[in-house]
Amino acid sequence: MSAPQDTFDQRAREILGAEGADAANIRHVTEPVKMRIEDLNVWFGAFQAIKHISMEIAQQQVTALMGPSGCGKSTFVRALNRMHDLTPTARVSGKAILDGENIIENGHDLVHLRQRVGMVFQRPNPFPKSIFENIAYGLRVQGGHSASEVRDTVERSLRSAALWDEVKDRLNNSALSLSGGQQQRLCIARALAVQPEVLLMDEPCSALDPIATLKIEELIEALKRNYTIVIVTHNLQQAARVSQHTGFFLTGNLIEFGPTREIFERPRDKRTEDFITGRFG
Amino acid sequence: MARQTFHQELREIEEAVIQLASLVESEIVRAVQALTQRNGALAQEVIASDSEVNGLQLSIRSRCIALMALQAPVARDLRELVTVQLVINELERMGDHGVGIAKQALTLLQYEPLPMTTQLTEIGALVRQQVRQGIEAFVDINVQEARTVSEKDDEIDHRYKSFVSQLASLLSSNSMVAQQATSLLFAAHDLERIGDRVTNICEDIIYMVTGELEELN
Repeated sequence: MSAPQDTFDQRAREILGAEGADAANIRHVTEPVKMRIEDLNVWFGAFQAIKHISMEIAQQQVTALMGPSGCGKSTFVRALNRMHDLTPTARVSGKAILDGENIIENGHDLVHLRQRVGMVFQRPNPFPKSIFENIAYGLRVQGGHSASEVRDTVERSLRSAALWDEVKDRLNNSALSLSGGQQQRLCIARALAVQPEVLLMDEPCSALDPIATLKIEELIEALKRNYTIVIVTHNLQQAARVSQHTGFFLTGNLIEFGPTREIFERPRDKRTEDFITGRFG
Repeated sequence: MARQTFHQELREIEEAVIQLASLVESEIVRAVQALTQRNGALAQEVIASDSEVNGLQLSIRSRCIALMALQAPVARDLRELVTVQLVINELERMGDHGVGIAKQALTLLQYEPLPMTTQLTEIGALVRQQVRQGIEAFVDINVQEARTVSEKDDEIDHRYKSFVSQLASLLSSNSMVAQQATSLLFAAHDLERIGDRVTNICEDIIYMVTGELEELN
């Protein structure tokens, strides 16, 4: 457990009162549930970063997760495709049930899981390869695709990520020659290429300018017709703009979860209200 | 870092709303006085003072629009800014009703007084109390107080109907008083509408506190 995290937790408790959520403030979704999280906990050594989270991710909807730095929202979302398996000190308990399967269980096929649950990170991280190869790479790892299938999938993915028209004449150029916003859409296209069911986005716009951000937000709106999206964001207005459900995290707890309009118009928990109205920051 | 500048501006807007409410209350009280005491100078004063009410309402509205555009308020801040804009509209219209009463006061000066002005004074007192308590409920952010105030509008409605019925009886027996009776009717109607606007403010208070859109009375 790091000292800054201790200080933050202590200060958050001082300002916001007792930790923990009132179960009544974690609302059920009314849409079909794509992923159900039950009593999820994440530890790094002795430090518990995520505490007893239970919530539902609605299918083909955008779920936004917000909260101050260090609240655990990124840790939570990374648990949903088993990213913590790469951290030796990390330990995860509880359930994250994707279409009836608990993906937290040992023995779950991680390659298959990450194909079903894609991830887009804060900073665009294209491979130092051509635009085409960035998309084709996952398909080649997957295997079993003909050259024409790969070409079709590259085009379909780039179109889905609203990037095709901008890059179709330079597919063999290096991905690193693209702008930051284009690189991020390329990373989204790369995630879409393996046809995931759920797309996790960890602050996908934090390194982008307002125009590139707008394009990603419009893209998220279009993608939700086919994908279930979970987005972690620092930007409260972005959460309000793009999502249908919003969760507020604080010191590893899910304080409130419900329809985005309700969270931003009349949140139930005073801590949520204090956070979104800037009375705590 | 909390949003101190934004919340300070919000507090200043609240103070301006209270100032507007106080101007409007005074306008209504003086308009009723001008009518019942046949004071033309006071009626002119009320009519002239309405521009101050209008100016303050526009200034508050402009500050609300700026905060909404620049600060992207949410939750209770959003509800408060929405409510403030609804409340100042009601207050501005209440001021217009005050002007309406003052204009009738000027018209009535040209005629012999009718004996029914006492009842108008009573309705005026009830309306003044209603305005005062409605504003107190807004300042106190008190839903219960808002509900109680809105219920009292029934008494104003009841008195208004009784007053109108008496005016109708008077008119049927003496058509010579048609102009005075019509002026008193307009003035009474202005008072009754002020009561209705207080009820609207009470509904706005409930939205501000609970986020629920509710129809009272």
